[in-house]
Amino acid sequence: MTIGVETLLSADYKVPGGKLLRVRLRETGGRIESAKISGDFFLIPEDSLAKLEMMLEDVPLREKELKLLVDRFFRGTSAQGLGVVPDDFVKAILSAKLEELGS
Amino acid sequence: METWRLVDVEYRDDPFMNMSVEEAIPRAVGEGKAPGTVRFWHNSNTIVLGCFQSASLEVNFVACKETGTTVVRRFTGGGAVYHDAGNLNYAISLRKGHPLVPDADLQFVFQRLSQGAVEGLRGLGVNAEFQPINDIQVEGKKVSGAAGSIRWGSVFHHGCILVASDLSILGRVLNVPQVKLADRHVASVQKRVTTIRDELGKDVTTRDVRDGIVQGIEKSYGVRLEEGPLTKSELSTAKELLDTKYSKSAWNLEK
Repeated sequence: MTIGVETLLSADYKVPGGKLLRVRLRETGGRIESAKISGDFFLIPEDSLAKLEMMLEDVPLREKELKLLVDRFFRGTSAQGLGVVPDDFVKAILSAKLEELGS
Repeated sequence: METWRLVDVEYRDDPFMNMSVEEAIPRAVGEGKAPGTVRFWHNSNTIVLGCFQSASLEVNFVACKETGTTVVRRFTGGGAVYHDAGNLNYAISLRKGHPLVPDADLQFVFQRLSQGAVEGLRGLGVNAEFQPINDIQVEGKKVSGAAGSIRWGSVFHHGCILVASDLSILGRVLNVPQVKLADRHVASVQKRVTTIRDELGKDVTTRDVRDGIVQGIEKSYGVRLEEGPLTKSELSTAKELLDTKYSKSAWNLEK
């Protein structure tokens, strides 16, 4: 049995003409263990972000699955973003790279 | 003509209480316990983080210690701002569905509810204009940022205006990510912001700007502002919010 190695991934994704999404992920074997999303964007209701972070747990780090999940989140919560659109969350997560030492 | 309440309640040396009052007012307005309200206030040296921001990523805590800068988180999104006595904060709370902002669309709220401040600044001789998403700019430089929300049955909008702030401290205490500066083609945060004092080329007080914005709001929205206190209920809510939320590291620093 192979036990996956946990890696830390991060991205600062600036939405063109919009706001900044800062993603910090723990990933194991191609799946998200945990996700922290921060930044200077707007999202109402504000407490919905924690729900998105929770929904991302154990999701494969692949575009198709992430798109489906983010769409489900926005439909289910009627959340309204400003400075970000749903696809920006997907792009930010997919752009996350290995944390550099010392960063 | 509709009358809104004008509140000048502030706690300059207690940014946590200032933020508690900031939340207590829209809660009261949304519940119908207070009329539409405009509040003006100041903080001493303080970083105010947006509710989605990471304190550890955004704040230079060493510089904060050196400059005596406090860190507090607000309940609205958007970016971190630096407050000092040369920075004027204003907040507008209206009941949800108010004819001025009938649609629950945050971009429209920012545009509509920045207009009073824009008019006020123009009246002082500053060539201010609203710049989407949430800025007021003068000649391409940011002089005010806004944030807001639609919750608790209210529409809430607040902004901070750099009247005569110390921009050198602002540049030290905030870690502005390079990716953000690069997107705006500027080398530092200081180069993309300005103050009302610098734009007018003369001394101007936050009181002058406050008075100008009062006129700008009355003119823009066809309302009359009447000075009034916070209610006992609002103060009680604010104190509860202070104890349970805004005085807590868990709220201010742990995102």
